[in-house]
Amino acid sequence: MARKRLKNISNKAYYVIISAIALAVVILLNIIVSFFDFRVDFTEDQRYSLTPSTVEFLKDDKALTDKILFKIYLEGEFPAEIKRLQSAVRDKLNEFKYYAGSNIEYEFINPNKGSNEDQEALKEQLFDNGLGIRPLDIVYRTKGASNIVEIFPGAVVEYQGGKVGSIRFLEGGQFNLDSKLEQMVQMGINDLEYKFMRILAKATRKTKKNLAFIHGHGELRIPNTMGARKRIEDSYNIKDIVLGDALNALDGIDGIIIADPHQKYSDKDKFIIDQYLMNGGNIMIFNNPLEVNNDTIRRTGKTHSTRKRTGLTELIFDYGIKVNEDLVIDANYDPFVFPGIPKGYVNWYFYVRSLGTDHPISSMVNPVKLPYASSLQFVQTKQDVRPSVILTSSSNSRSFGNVPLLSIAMEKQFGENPVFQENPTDKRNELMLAGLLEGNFESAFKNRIVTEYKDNPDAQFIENSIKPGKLLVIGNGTFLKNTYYDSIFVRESNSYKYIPRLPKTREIDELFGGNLIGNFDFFENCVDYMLGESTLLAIRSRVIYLHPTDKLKIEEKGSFYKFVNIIIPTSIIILLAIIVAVVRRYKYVRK
Amino acid sequence: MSSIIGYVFMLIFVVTSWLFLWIIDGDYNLLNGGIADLIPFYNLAPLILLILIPAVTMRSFAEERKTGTMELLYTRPISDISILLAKYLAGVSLVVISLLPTFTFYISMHYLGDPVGIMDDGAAITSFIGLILLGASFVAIGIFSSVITNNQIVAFIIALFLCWFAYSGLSLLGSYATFAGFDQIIRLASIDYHYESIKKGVIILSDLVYFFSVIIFFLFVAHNILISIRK
Repeated sequence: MARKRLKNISNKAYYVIISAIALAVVILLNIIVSFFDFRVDFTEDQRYSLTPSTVEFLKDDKALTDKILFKIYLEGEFPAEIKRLQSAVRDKLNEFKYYAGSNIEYEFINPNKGSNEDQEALKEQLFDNGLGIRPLDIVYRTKGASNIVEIFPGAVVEYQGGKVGSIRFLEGGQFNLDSKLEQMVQMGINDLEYKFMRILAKATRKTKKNLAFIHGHGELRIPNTMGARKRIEDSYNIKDIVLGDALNALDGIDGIIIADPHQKYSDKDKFIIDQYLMNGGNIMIFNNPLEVNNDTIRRTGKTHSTRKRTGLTELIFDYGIKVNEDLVIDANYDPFVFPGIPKGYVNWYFYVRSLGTDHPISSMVNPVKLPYASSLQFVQTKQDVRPSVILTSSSNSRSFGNVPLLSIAMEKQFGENPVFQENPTDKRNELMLAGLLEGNFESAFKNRIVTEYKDNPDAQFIENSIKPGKLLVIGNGTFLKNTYYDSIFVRESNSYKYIPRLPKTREIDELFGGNLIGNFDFFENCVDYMLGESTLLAIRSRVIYLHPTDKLKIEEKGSFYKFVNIIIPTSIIILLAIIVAVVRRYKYVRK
Repeated sequence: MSSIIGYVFMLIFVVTSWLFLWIIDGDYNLLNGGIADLIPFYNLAPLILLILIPAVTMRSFAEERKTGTMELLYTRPISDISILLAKYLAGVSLVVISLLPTFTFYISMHYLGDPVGIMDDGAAITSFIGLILLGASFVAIGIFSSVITNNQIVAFIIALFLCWFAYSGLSLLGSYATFAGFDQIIRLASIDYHYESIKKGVIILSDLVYFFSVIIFFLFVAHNILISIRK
């Protein structure tokens, strides 16, 4: 008896032991398998795999000739969402390595390790030294207390022994763990491939393209655009050109930006721009024909918009885009900080938060804030150009007046939830705020050429485009003005130094709205697109399809679908039960 | 398919899914979601299966042990492993068969897409496979729970707990800074971590291996116990 029991126990022990061994084997197997990088993406658009152009770039021996090192400052104790970002970064880089081999290296660095001085020095370097990795504070609650964890969601990239730039996986700022963080992380993850490729392309670029800001007609001054310039200065040679100096002022320039001009463009300047376009130039015009003075509104509570007569709208009209002399009001707006009233701000329908279309320039960015935007329309012309809509207002918006009067009382007039259209969800209400023309243009001077240039042999007047060009028009001139940063003039070097205004703070208007805007990302995309960075564009233009449902159908036939989806499945089950029962009986009877 | 419980299982599964996906105005609602996919269904189904599968598997061995029919089974010329596998496969096929009527959900979304058929079929089918793997893992856990006790209710509760723990308990444990450095490892052991990518439409080798590991491990241990309780 005793012996039997003993045997029994040892028997049990035996099974416990082999079960434990099995568990160990299973765990080991899983660990081993995790090193294999075998995956199949069954989605239609391969949205979880690298784009072919990326793979091509990575496989090309001539493209990436040296080691590139990603120093990623995402290590330490994080909330689960950030962990997800961290492992997505690692996965993506491993995928890159899979194609590019040993030339891609990465390391994860914990910025909160080491002595206090080291930490401070590193953080200062990451943030203040222009690397632009803004700290992100995540607020979370444990044991009833609110805690903050500060992370640096970015990477510094080194190639051939030198820094080539930085990547920001997430925007900085402050976030509650339970708010939009998860959504933000998802967007960050979707964008990883682009961000890595952007830096790779930049590192391996042999020659930089020339981008010129046009001056001389009251355009945004250099310090006003430092934030925007900062974003693109590593990838392009930025020049500042005053037109009218010479007919060949734009020779060798790959793209020009005209941002918020206030004074009239002379015929000569327009002629230079026109001929530049005929030679396959890429022109970005950010301009609205109306001007609003915020200072006047702040002082008196209201103001008239005034006309700017730059002559550019006529020029653009000839190419096929009409800029309307109106202001767009939108139910998707940002607030206007207005001291002296209890709330501290008014809901300002003129600060349009403009939405992107599925065009690569705007499809992946946060809403673009366009303060006082004018609507655009395409004009039917005989030219061989392809139009695309880049930005639109929301479906609950409308064009407001012809040189209208603006007043802070409008908030009361329209209410907290303004309805600007009879049918506020109708897509047809959307107004174009940015439009793009690509192709062969016809000169605006064709039938009205000023003899001064016609007779001037140096001018070499061209009637029709000899190379396809691009014209991007945005009905707002100030969207690329600095938001976060200011510049100071440095006398010694006779230049502007670009400094963060106040660390960790956001633009005050934005602070009130609590919304993130994508202005600079959008600007960056505009420049990339206009100057034709093809590798990057392929990734950008890769449409991650949304698969929307038909709202109208759901409204009309919703109850039909509700009905069908219970009747058919239950009938199938009942039918199955009956069939099985009948078959059984049949079998039984036959026996 | 002889007992009524299979049909009850299927009906409850379909009706609950239908309520959450088509009627109740919540996160899972397909009509309000605005996206033509079945991701809400693939999010919801594990939760329903989590409760239903233990209810089906609880009697598989516990009842036999209690009523003594286990001995009867042992006397027949069938190996332990066939008994185990037969009961296991019965459970899995029940899961698969109950998933089939939900094909109407799929067809509905196909027609509700704008335009019709924009739904990503590849992803939907892959997710379906993922759901079957997940269900199969739950059945293995349920069978294991039923083997270790001769009380059906206890078997149900243990299975319910284990399924929940493996599905979301582990990843909850592994969320922010509970166990410092081990967080990620704990999360890696959870079912929902591995279900995540297959649900989206990507099959990764390590996820497949994980699911089969869970199934084989629990069946292996159940088999050991079956042998050891044999008198």
